[in-house]
Parts: sequence; C-alpha cells; structure tokens
Amino acid sequence: MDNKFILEMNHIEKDFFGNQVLKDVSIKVKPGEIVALIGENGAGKSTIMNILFGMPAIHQTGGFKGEVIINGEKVDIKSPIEAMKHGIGMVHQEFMLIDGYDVAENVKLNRENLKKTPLSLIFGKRLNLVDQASMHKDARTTLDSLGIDLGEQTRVGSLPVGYKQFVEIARELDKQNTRLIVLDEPTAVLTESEAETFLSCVRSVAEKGIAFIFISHKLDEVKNNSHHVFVLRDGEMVGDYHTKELNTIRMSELMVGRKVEILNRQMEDEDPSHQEICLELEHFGVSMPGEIARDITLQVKKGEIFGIGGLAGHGKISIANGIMGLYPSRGQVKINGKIMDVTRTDDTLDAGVAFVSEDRRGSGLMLDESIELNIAIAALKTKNRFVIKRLGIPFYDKKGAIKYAEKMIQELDIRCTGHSQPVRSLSGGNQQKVCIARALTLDPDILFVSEPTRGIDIGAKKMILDSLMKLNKEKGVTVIITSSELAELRSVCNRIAIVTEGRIAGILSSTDEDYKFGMLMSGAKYEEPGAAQGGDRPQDAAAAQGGDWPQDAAAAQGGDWPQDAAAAQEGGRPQNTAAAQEGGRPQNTAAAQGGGQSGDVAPARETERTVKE
Amino acid sequence: MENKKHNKAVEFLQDNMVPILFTVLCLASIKISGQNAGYVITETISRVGRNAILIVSLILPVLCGMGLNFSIVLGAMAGEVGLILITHWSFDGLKGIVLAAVIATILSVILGTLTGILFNKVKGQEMITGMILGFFAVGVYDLIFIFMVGSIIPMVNPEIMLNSQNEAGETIYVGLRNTIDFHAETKYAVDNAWKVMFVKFLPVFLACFAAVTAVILAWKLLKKKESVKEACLSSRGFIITSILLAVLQVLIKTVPAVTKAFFIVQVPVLTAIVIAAVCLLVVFITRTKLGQDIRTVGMNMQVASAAGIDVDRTRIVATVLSTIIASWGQIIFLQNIGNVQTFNSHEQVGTYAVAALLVGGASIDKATMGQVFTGTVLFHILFFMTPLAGKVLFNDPQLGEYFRVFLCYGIIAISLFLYAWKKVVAEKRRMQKEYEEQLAQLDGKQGQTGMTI
Amino acid sequence: MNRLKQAVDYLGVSRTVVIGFLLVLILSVFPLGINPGMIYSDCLVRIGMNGFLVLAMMISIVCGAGLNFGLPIGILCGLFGGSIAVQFNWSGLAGFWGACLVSVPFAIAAGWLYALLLNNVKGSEMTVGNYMAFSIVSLMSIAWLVLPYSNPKIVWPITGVGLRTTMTLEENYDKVLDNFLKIDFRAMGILQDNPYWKDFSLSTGLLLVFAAGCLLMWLFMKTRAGVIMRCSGVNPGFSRTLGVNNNRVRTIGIIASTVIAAIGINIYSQSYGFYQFYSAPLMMAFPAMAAILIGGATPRKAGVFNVVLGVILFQSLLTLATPVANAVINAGSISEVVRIIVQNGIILYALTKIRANGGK
Repeated sequence: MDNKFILEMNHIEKDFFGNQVLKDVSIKVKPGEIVALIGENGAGKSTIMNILFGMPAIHQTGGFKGEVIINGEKVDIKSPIEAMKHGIGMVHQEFMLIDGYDVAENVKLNRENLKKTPLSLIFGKRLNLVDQASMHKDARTTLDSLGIDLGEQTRVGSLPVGYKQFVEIARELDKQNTRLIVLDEPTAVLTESEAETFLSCVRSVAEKGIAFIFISHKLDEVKNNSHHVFVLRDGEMVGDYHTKELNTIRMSELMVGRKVEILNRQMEDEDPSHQEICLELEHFGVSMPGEIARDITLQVKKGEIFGIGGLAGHGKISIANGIMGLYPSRGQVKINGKIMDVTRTDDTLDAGVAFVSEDRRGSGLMLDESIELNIAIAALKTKNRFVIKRLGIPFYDKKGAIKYAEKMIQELDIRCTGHSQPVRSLSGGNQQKVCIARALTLDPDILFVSEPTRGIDIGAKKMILDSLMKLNKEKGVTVIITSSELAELRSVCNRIAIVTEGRIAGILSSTDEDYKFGMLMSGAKYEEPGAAQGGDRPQDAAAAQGGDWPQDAAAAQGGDWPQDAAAAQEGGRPQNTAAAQEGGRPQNTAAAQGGGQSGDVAPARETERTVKE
Repeated sequence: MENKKHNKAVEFLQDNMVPILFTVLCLASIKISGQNAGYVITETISRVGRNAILIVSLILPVLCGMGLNFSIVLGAMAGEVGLILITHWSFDGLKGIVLAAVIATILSVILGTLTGILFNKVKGQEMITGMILGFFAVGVYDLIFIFMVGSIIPMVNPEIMLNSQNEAGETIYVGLRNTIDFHAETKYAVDNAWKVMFVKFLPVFLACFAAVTAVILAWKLLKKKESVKEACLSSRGFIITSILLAVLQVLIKTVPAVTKAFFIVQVPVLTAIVIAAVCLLVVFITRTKLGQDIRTVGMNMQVASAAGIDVDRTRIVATVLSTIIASWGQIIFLQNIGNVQTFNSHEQVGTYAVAALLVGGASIDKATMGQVFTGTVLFHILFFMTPLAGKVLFNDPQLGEYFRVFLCYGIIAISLFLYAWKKVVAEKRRMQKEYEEQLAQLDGKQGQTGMTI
Repeated sequence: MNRLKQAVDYLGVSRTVVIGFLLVLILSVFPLGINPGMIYSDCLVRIGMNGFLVLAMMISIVCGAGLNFGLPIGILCGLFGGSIAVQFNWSGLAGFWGACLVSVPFAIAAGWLYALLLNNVKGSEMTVGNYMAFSIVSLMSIAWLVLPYSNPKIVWPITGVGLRTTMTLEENYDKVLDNFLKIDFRAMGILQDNPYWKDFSLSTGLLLVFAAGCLLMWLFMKTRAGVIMRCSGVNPGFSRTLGVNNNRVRTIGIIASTVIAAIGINIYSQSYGFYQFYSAPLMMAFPAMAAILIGGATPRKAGVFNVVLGVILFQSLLTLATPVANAVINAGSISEVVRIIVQNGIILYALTKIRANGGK
C-alpha cells in the first residue's frame, strides 16, 4: 500500500456554543484502506464526519479548528457539494433514494446523462434531453463492477432494504472521481446475509483503491472488515490501532471505559425490603420509529433506581414511551401486579406513573407558555390539582399554581426571571428542571426519566441527578432512568439494564467492569452466573460452559476471512449446529461465538486478515 | 386464473372510478336533456378546444409536488391583459394574437416568479395558498383596471373604457368596460384560420395518429427491446385512441344517424395544432433535465436537495411554466368566445381546470396527458349538459347549474380528502410494516417461525 | 415613551401601522365632511354583526384545528334555522332566539361530522375543509330549491317552490337586537344641535350580545377544560403525554365553532335585515379569518383579545374606507376592491408564517 494518505484530518477541534465536542482529533486514511471509527453516542463520530462533509450545521455554529488534507492538498470544504467535488462520498443511514425512480435514475441522480437539443441552445442546458438509454447502460456497468445482481430498471421503492444500500454505494462509485466513501452505520438495517454481501462488496471496492471510513457499533464487523480502528471517546481520540491488535473486548473497553467521577453515590446494600416488584415487563415490544424494542422482559423493584442503557437506535428510549402509550406496543406490562392497558395513558398516569420525556423541546414542554403552566398542567389534568370550583364549574386556579411554581423554582433552583417567563427562553438545564417539577407535582410512585441530562451543563447535571436521588431516598419513588450516558447511570443506579437490538442484553450493577458493559452493548449476551435477574431470560450457553469469555474459544481458529473459515469447517452455518446441540435459543450460541449479531458472522479473531478473492 | 382476472377488473374499476362515474353521469345527462347528437358534439369540440390548454397548464406543478395549482388565475389574467392591449392598439388578427401571447408570456414570467417565491414560503400548503392568492390577485387586477386605468395609468379609449363626467363637465375615461368585444379580425382568429369539416378531417387525422402509434410501438419494440405486452401497456393511451378513432370512422361511414350527427361539425385545425404543440412542449420538458429535476423534487424534496438540486428554483420554474401555459390557454379560450368579460372571465379558471383534471382521473401527485383530455371532455360535456338536464327533470335549469357547481367543488373536495386520508393511512401502514419487517427479520434469524405474544 | 415602545413590541410593527392608519381614517372623517355620528354608529354595528363569526374562528384555532375554512357549514346550519323561523313567521326577540335554537342541533351534528373529517386529514385541514365547505354550500343550494318551504313571503313568486336568494326580515326580527336598549341620539333628542354627533346611535343589544359571547369565551378559556384545550392546540404531542385525547378535544372545539357560527349568522342577518341563501355563505369564512389574524392571532394561537381587537380593526377599516375614499377620489366601489386586497393579503401573510407542521 502507498504511504501517501488520501485523507488527513489533523488536530480537529469543534465546540458548539462552548460545549467542546471534539478535542484534538486526528484521522489518517490511506487509499484502499478501510478505516473504522468507533465510539459511543455523543463521542463525536457524526460531528467529525459532518466536518469532513462540509455540512451547514458546522459552519453555522462557528466552523472548526484544524486542517483537512485530501490527497496532499489542504482543502476547505464548505458544503456537501464541495465535498463531492473532492471525491468524498457518503452512504447515509437514512436512504437518500427516490422510491419512484428506478435504480439507474437513482444512481445518476442529478448527474443524468444528457443530449443537446435545439431548445437547450437557446434556453440553457437545463433543457437538454435526458438520455435514459446511456444512463441505464452506465448504471449497469457500475452495478456489474460491484458484483451486485440487481436490475438497473427495477423500481427502487420495490427493493428490499438490503438492496437499497447497494444502490447508494453504486451511486457514489458512479461518480468517477470518488476516492473515499464514508459509511454511516451501513448495516444497521440489514440482515446478516445482506450485511455480509454488502461488506464483501465494500472489501472488493477497497481493493480497487477506494478508501472507506466505516462507522459502526457492530464491533465484529469492525474487527472483520477494517484495517485500522480509530476510537473516539468524549470527543477525544483514544487511539489509532491496527485492527489486528484489537479484539472486540478491548474495543469496547476503549469505547466505554472512563472514570466514574460525576457522583460518588453511596451504594446501599441490597435492602431486603427492596424486593417487591413494582413494574414488570414481559415480551414487551414498542414500535417507535428509529428505536424499536422487540422483546423486553424485566422487573423493577420498588424503591430502586433502575437504569436502562444501550446504544442509540437499539430501543431503550422506546420502553418508557411505550409504557406511557405514546407509541404502539405489544406484550404485557404490569404495574404493582396489575396488568395495564398501556394505550390508555390516563390510566397509567392514574396508577402513579410519571414520565419526563427525552424530547424536551418537542413533546416535553409548551415552549411559549409560562413556567407555572408547564409545571401545573399535568397535575391539573390527572389529579385535578390547582382547581377552583365556581358555580360548580372547575376553573384553573392560577394563583395557587403560581404559588406552587414559585416553591418549585426555589426548590429546584430554576434560574428564571419569574413564574410567568416563557419556558422557551430558559437554558436546557432549567427547562429540564421544569419538566421534572411537572412530573414531581404528580406525586408519582414510579418516575420514568429519559435522557435527563442530555445537552445540559455539568452543574445542572449534578443538580438534576441529585434531585432524582433525593426523591428516591426521601419519598421512596422508584426512578427508572433511560440514558445514553453510561457514566451517569453508573453513578446513580442500583441496577442497569443494557438494551441491544431491542432486547435486554443483560442487567449489570454499576460496579461491574467496563468491558462487560461494552460487550453487552455490542451484542454479546452476558449474564453473571448466579445473579438473581428474575424473569424469562435465556441462559447463556457459553456462560454455562464455564464462564470463559466466549470468543476466546472460537479464537483458536486460524485462516482467512473468519466467516469463510467457519463455513469451511462446518460446511454450514455455525450457529445452527450449536443450536442443534443446545436445543436452546440460538442467539445464546451465537453469543457463544461472540458475534455482533447472532447468526452468520463468525467469531472475532486476532489474525491478520488476508485479501479474499 | 379466474380470480386474478376478476381482481384485475376490480382493480381497474377502483383506479378509474372517477372517470367511469363521470362518464355515466355524462351519458345520463345527455339522454335526459334530449339534445341531438350534432349539437352535443359541436359544443363539446368547441369547449374542449378552448379549455384544453388551461388544463394542460396544471400538469407541471403536479409533477413538482406542488399539488393543484389554483393560482393559474394569474396566468389567465396575463392572457387577458394581452388581448385587451391588442384591442386597445387595434393590432388585430392572427398577428395580434401572437403579440398578445408575447405580452402574456412576459407578464406570466413575472407573475409566475412571484407566485413561485410565495409557494416556496408555504411548502405543504401550496393549494390553499394558491386559491387565496387567486382571490388576492383578482382584487389587485380590479384595482388596476377599474380605478387606475385612465387615472394613474394614462389611457384613453372610448371603445373599451367607461366614461363619466368630472366637475369641469369634461368627459373622462376611467376603468375598463365590463365586456370588451374583440375586433372582427381578432374574434375567432385562431379557430377560423383553418376550418375543416370533421368528416373530411377524421380520416386524415386517423391515418396520422395510427402512423404515430405504429412508430412509437416499433421504436419501443426494436430500440428499447421491450416485450410486446410491455410496449402495448405503456402506450395504451395511443392504442386506445387509435382504436376509438377507427371505430368512429367506421361508424360515420356506415351508420346514417352518426353521419348526420357529425356532418355539421367543423374542426378548427389551427387551434388543434396549437393544442398539440403545447402538449408536445410539456411532454418534451418532462423528458429534459429540467423535467427530471421537477419530478425528483416532486417525489422527495429532501433527497433532491441532498443530491444538489436547487429545489426552490426548480419549483419556481415549474410555477412560471404553468402560468405561461395558462396565459396561452386563456387567449385561446377568449378568442373562441369572441369577447372578454373583463372582470369575470378569469374568476373560476382555477376551479374549473382543477375539477376537469380530477374528473379525468388525475390526483394531487399524478397527472398525465391522457387524464387531461379525458377530464376536459367529460367535465365540459357535464358542464353544459346539466342545466339542460335540470330543465327537463325539474323544470328548473337553475337546479342543473347548482348541481354542476356542486359536482365541481365536490370532485375537488373528495379528491383532496382521499389524497390526504390515504397519506395518513399509508404512513400508519408503513410504520406498521416496518415494525413487522424488523421483528420478522430477527425472528427469522432465530430460526423460529415467530414470537408468541 | 417606554410604555409606547412596549405596546408596539407587544402588538407588532405591522399591527401598529394598521392601528395608526385606522386612527387617521377615524379622525379624517371630520375634515372630509362625513357625518361622524352616522359612520361611527355604522362601525359599531358592523363590529357587533361580525363578532360571533370571529369568535367561532377563534375556538377552532384554540383547539388545534387551525383556521376554520369550514365556517360556511356552521353558517348554513344557522341559515336553516333562520329559514324555519321565517317560514313560520316568528318575530321579535323570541323569534330570533328561536331561529338560533333550531340551528343548534343541526350545528352540533354537522360540526361532529366535520370534525371527524378533519381528524382524518391532519396536515391538510385547510384545503380539504375549504372545498368540503364549498361543495356543501353548493349542495345546500339545491336543497334550498327543493325543500318544501311554503310561506309565500319567502318562496319564488312564480313557481312557488324554493327559497328566494335573499329574504327580508322586516316583518320578523329585523334589527331586533340592534334596537334592544338602543341609544339613539336622534330619537332621544340628545345633542341634536351638534352637527357631528346628532346622528349617533349605539346598538346596545347587539353589542351586549357580542360582549356576552366574548365574556363566555374568556371564562371558558380559564376553566380547566379550556386550559387543557388550549394546551392540546398549542402542542398536541405534549398533551398526549398528559393523557389528553387530542382528537376528542378537536371535535369539541369544532362543534363549538360550528354552533357559534350558526348563532353568529343569525345575529349578522338580523342586523343586516336580510337572510342571504345560495352562494352567499361561500366566502364568509375569509373576512372572519382576516379579522382574527389582524387582531394578532396566528393559525396556531388565538385569544379573546385577538378577536375583539381584530374585529374592531377590520370592520372599522372597511366601514370607513368607502366614504373616505369617495370623498378623496371620486371612486365608486373602491372599498370593495380594497377589502378583497386587504383581506386576502392578511390571510396570505399568515399562511407564510406557518412553519412546516407541528405535533401530531
């Protein structure tokens, strides 16, 4: 491989209104290299790609520091179109495809082949005829070069999701000058076989000299498909490694590990009185766009602070939303032993459940209304508080609400100009305090809080977490916190459930080691032998085998691309054989292989990958 | 096989419910009114001739995702201004009409651009905004042509302006008359330029049309290498029209009643050529880069924008083109009528054109040339037949008139409702499907047939 | 000066300009030789006439359904009640309230159906509502022709079937509210030697009814139900998390809007002196919209203050425009044209201010 880099991003720094999101990040990519960029949510991956791609969100917020060098030349990319001109392509998470067009038209979107006409000579090139025939031919050539079996005249809307991803890659490649393609969670919506076909296509394209930056949470895919791994954590470059130096455990450690410094909570011993179960979910699934929960089974004890963590898009946010009836759901929910019909939100509220939404500015607040109304409204509706009856008609007791609001403002230290200030003009932290105040006004038994400290400065963070802990301690309220910030969960929660792929991957305690959290989040099933989890959780076969880390067992295999090896050995799919042995749920056995997704992809290993033809 | 055929028939009925329903209504009202065929046919040809272009002007905004362009009123007004000016300057005849078209085009570019800018500010609510803009524009038009012409805008023309006495006893001219007659040479100029008897015209037209159809089919079969079935399906409009024309020709030659009906009918050939030219122009535009961009923007603005297409500018261009074509349409309309109701001719242009398009089976996001012509024919037959039918049924032509207004607004209301409702339902269904797909995927991975709940 | 600045900020620059312009018109009456007494009385009457229709527009905005393009539906119900009243020769205040009473059940039913329609087309309420209203008005035009009215005063003289386009209320309850407790300077002999004020009159009954309507609406907005409705309209997504059934709230709001419109058209007609059938209701939603918008409301937010301010501004502007314009330039019906321009211009402006869609 060439020593010259196709892309260098050196000492990139970016802050959003004082919030330092990237601190001295450097990335280097050689032509034909596949480089992985891993990190937790909020680590800075999207930000650095937005910088590379010249997105307006970067320039409208003060630009960035550092330099970007493409092919040895310093560049200043101010828009996605400029990025494209420099040969940077991007395959997005949401498909940028037109369903009503066929594959060829999508591949050639806004770059259609044209033929001149008499009218275009007068009125300009927009009146050139579209040369459908040559477009289809070109598209066919590109598709063939990718080795994809896809008709260029197929309507994209009718394609299964996996194929749509190919069309995106074909589009980037059809642009002749593409030198680097960014893949943003490309296999998030693909099945295993689709993912493997896609990644093998990526590998073959890379051999032709096109570099890839591969952003993914699926550590096995990263392990099996990249040459280099860049790990971002909290906006800092933790390391730049050759993939062969790492295994998935180490990767998750690097991603997740941090000093748990925010709060030193005194972990109380398991109080025997804290064994009553107040909330029980059984095979609970929620259909929330982008955050689908498939099969959640867990039990929350009364009086505990329970955390729900996991990566973005894996479904943790949907749980609370589903219980509150905001999105369609299925499965069973029991509150204090009683089966609930979650579609009836007011029944849930009446049962003593309150919810602080993650969508603070959207469905969490009435931005143009006063603090006092925002605080009082929930109790007004559900508990008939702040009501004054005149002539038998219930009126809103504004005076009473104001008095109460002022009390809350003081208690929670909400910085504002007064109770009548519109909530829109408060800072994020104070807005969150208003939301919490509203939930507290309901005097709940169970409080769901989603992303309580997202986008909030450190001082307010502490305040909010403190008030939640106080609530739990003084009033015995069961607090269930859903958050992407593992550190904060570990600092306040008794137990933390990690949701991966819409299921509970495992329940850990805050003192468990970093790598365990990382493993659960990347899809391995882990369960502490002997831990009282309760519920219906399948037993991990590997754990049953003796507590060895599963992938070490599989690591003893040598050879080429892992999946070929596995296929060659068994002559079949690894997990099926294992399943046949177990008679148990297949995903355990797949977990036995340490796979990112249960299924085809074989174990992460530690040998140098060689090129597959 | 039986089931599949049955389903296809049901599907065809469902998809084309509206035109079928209106065909039935048309036939019913023709029957009831008892008018003779000759009158019906002459009147229909006349109406289709003068209205077709107005309805064609609606296609591009539909393709661009802006829905039904109720603001073609502005284009119509531009056309009227053109004709009024040539009458004022006594620049008559065909050349006058050409000049009027040029003036109208220039005005339409300005008005269309302003409209397009407005539409870009109200993405998602273009239809209602277009309607209100139409009202607004009528007000401005009235202001200019009732009060400002003659006073602030110096213009003296006793023929077309209203006169009154000022304090000094002098005659002053302010404001246009309510009806302005065109000069003799301008009236019907395009229509009369070349009139051919229908019975002589049809064989020639049939031959040309069949030839064109044959060429298109040949090209599709040979060059694009489509299968016979595919080629026939995609050019079914041409094939069906050719067959209908051939049938008509046979009927005229053989059935005396039909011959009699068509004998008096005259075809304004120049008008037909103009209409054909405009249609070809629109079809041509859709096949250009501009047309491709318009369609891309219409299908998905975000993707278009991400691909680098200037969405706002494309929408403005589509609006301008729509306005220009509407202005030409109004000129053809008025030359057929012979005069202009200065303040009324453009009032219902938007509503009637939209209703006609919808009657033809188009919808808010889909409009084809075939639907334009089907709709024009059906709508306008209904338009002049219902009062006559009303007179026969209820002895009250007024009832027929109200009925046709009701049909007009009703078809628009139902189309809008169905479209909006389908969107809501489709969105729900899509989310449900996505959810199920995702679940099935994972269930499939597990090797189980499905989760028990 | 600071207070002035505060007021301007609160009202917005455009509104302040309008108010300023109106004040100019009001005062210009004197130097132009127009009879102030009469014109100001006219202004007040117009305000009372149109007030309820604007109140109907307000409740539709508050409950989250936006500008009520379907106002003509409520108006038709009111006209129906009125036609019954005239058919049976009801007169006086009792006759008037009888007409209103008859309209109400129809308005409730129609409002409920209309709400059902709107709830299924969220995002396209304006367009769908508008053309639904247009088609129903046309349908009712057929109904007016065929329904079995028999009172010779209201049917077509020749055929004896079908309502006339306009029917006079002279023998029924023409100006019955207007005249209730009316303070008529001329009749009472007050200030008769003052050339400016001798013709002034105050239609107390009419304004009392409008004031009562505003008061009831204001009180409603302060009840628990009213607060919840307002929240649902302002942020439906938020209200869902409170367990509010947004569709139900919208239904109640639209039914209320339809009923208020039904009563409102009766108030309007008794003051005008005529019931106008057939295509008159088609365009009646738009002046009400323009009025509430100029009063400071938006398609998402409205209050009683917007209603009152708006109807005063809009109607006074229209009333004063004709005579003032006539006195300045010898222009005939320029006020009608100006009305169309101003009215639709205001609505256009408001439409451009609606940002994408909000909430579910």
